[in-house]
Amino acid sequence: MIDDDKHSDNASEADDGNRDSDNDNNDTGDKHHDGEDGNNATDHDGGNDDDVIHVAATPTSPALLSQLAHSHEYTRARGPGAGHTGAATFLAQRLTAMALVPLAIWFAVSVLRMSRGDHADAAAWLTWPVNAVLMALFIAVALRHAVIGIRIILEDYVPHPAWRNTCVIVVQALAWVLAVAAVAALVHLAL
Amino acid sequence: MSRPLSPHLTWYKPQITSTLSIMHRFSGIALTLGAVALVWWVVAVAIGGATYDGTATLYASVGGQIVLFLWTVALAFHLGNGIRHLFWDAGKGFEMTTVNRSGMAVLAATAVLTMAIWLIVLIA
Repeated sequence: MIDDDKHSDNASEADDGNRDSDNDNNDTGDKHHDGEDGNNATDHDGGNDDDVIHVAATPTSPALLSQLAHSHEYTRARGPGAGHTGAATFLAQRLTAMALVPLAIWFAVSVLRMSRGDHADAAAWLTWPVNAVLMALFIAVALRHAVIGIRIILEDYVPHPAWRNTCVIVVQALAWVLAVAAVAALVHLAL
Repeated sequence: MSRPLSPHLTWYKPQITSTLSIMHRFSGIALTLGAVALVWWVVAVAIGGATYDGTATLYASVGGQIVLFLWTVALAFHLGNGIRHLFWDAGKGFEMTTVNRSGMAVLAATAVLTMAIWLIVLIA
């Protein structure tokens, strides 16, 4: 029990509610600690220090939960969570990915072939409604997918929030310009 | 906001998991640039004349063909590895042996798909 008192001192009184689980995990560790109470911080040869960290990381005591409930970080993590909008973007990324599997194969084969023809071939090809629709779909879906992916990369690697948000908005705006330009070009060819 | 940002590219020992993950992002960026080139090509066809001729000449040049080839490699890889990601999203294929094997399969599929695309393009 000397050992358990040590733990309580280190992890604050909020640890009290976790005594039971702590003891469950310490069946083999008590004897070990009896002789080395002063060495807990630098003890690397047993699993007991992990147990101490485990107790601190899984708050179940009312005191600690109450403390967490009033902390800013905890309240911010509730609701839709860190993504702020739930799973909509996550789902859109997957659904566009699935749509792009057939579209990308169609695109790779047919457009690369087209790039070797002259202007009349290309114009005739893009004027055919099926090709025009598939091309518009491919560009729109690919750009949606691209904006989501690039946004995630920017969020990972651009540390400053204002600069990061600016980059995301610029990328989104450029995608809109590209999508509208492509559709306008396809309509122009069809008329 | 001084939270640690992830993931640091220099942090990982090069291995098939981390390397393919990084390649997925780089190929995604490359394909986005490719989408710009594609939209420009569609617009150039609509404009026609000297604009189309200039674009066609650029894309048919040696440098243009090399970039187009690299884009098909990126497309084939991102496609294959993306399907791998979809399987992970469905909760399948997380065992380390499967992860390593599917990674090698993606690399093989990238080579096969790239060659298939260019065979069709060059023969047709």
